[in-house]
Amino acid sequence: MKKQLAPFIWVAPVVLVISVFMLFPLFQALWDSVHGGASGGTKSYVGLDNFKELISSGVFLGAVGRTLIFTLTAVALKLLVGGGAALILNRAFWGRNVLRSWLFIPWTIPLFAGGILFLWLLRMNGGLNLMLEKLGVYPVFWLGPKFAMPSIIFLNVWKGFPFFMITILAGLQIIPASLYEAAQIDGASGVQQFRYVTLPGLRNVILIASLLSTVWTFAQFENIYVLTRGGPGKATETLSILIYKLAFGTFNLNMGSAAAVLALPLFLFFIFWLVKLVRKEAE
Amino acid sequence: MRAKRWQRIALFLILLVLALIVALPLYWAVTIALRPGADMFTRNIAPSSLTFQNFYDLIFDRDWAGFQGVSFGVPLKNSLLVAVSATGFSIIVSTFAGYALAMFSFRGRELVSSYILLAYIFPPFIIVVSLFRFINLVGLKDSLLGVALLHLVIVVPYCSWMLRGYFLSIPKSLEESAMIDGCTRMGALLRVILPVSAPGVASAAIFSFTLSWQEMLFSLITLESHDKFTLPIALLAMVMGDLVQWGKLMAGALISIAPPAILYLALQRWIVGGLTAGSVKR
Repeated sequence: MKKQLAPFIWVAPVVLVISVFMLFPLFQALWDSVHGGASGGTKSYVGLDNFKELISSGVFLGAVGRTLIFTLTAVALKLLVGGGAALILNRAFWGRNVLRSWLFIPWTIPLFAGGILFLWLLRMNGGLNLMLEKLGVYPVFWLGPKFAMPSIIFLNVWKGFPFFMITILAGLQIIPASLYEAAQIDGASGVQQFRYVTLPGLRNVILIASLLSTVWTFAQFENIYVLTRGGPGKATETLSILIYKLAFGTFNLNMGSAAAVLALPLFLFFIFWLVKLVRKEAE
Repeated sequence: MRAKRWQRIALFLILLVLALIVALPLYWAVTIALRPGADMFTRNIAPSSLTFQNFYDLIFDRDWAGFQGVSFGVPLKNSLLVAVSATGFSIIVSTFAGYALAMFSFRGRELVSSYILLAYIFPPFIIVVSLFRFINLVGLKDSLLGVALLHLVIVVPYCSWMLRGYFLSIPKSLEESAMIDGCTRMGALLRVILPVSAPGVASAAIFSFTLSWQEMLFSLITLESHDKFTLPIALLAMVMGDLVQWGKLMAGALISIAPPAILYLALQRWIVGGLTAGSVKR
């Protein structure tokens, strides 16, 4: 009996921390979402009213749409830029190590600080427009209604592509050189080698990196809050911004929880898929 | 052969363009931070001269950004305090959990591992309202202890998962031989395993430090008074002012960037494992 109990004592503090600070708050959010809200005090049961209001007012679906555009575009670009950089960096050339370290820098920059840097870069009289002016191009309202979404995507890709670069580079290095040699003996062209040796070898690395990045990008708050606060208007109001605004802007905590609960199924699927994949890969 | 050569140069140039895009915001941040005040309203790309005045004012001139006389050293110290305490606690509990999950065999082991991994991936903004309520309930509103507690949400699952992966790579025979020599499990961990695992524990600690360092949402919902602000909130407060002092703002951003950037670049070798939480085999 004692022997069976001992391991649990070793893991108990961690399990306790996660339960108290994540599992319990999750149940609290579920409870919150069907109480209070728009009609009545915070404790009265309102059933699905909060959800209905979020959906019928259109704020929720609007935020879902923007979150999807933001997430899908940003992840695709990060994979493209990071993967491309990794493929080039995988060859030997002069200055490779310096370039790799340099390209890695954005990943080390805290999200909020990255937002601050871009605040200067993208403002009306900011860095990018000053440079464009020298080239004779009219200044662009980067953080205006039209370009705010591309701007936060730009920031997200700038900050996040090194993650793909480094993981894919590591993935490339574990593909055995003998596979390439065999392909060359069989007369495979460079493109064919990429298609039949490199890509299959990278499959799991790309899948896991993309899924992780999808969940992180989906939940992105810092970058957007610092750069645009969801504006102008609602141009960059993603789910995390919406939840924050509902809960702490209008101070309707229950409504904020309701939006969070409603958002949960959207990426729970990704999370479980990821857990399964990582567990399988790590064994 | 000639074509190959051109191809190589083209690829190198693509990478160079990417390197320039990476440099763009950093170039501006550095040159704006080092620019003399009078230079701010010229439309020049390069500063006329360089000065550390902005950095000096940020720390020593109490009137920066009209911030109720709080030096920028205060948020710097607060962020450090929060990150160090969250990391310290988390490393201790995670070492035990990671060790047990890697070395012991017991029922429920896989379940606990999955629970930790799930917590690591789960985005905390879903439960931000509940955590806000919790902090108010236990009377930790506007306290650094409150922020540090909330950071455990991010840091503890991360460290546990990382350390579990690290201990898995250590041969079980090491523990067994220590126990044959008369060590208890705890003794084996402290005297034999930990000394060999020092690099793994150190890198988990460093990653956890940077995770806490860059977290903003929890500071935002917990802190109210200026002398309690952590770095992200202090910078946000500088932006909220009517007149943004860009030179000081960029200097502040650079100060916040330096510690994690230095730590990461010094530890590049270990980073891959950290990024994917041990999911990619090496």
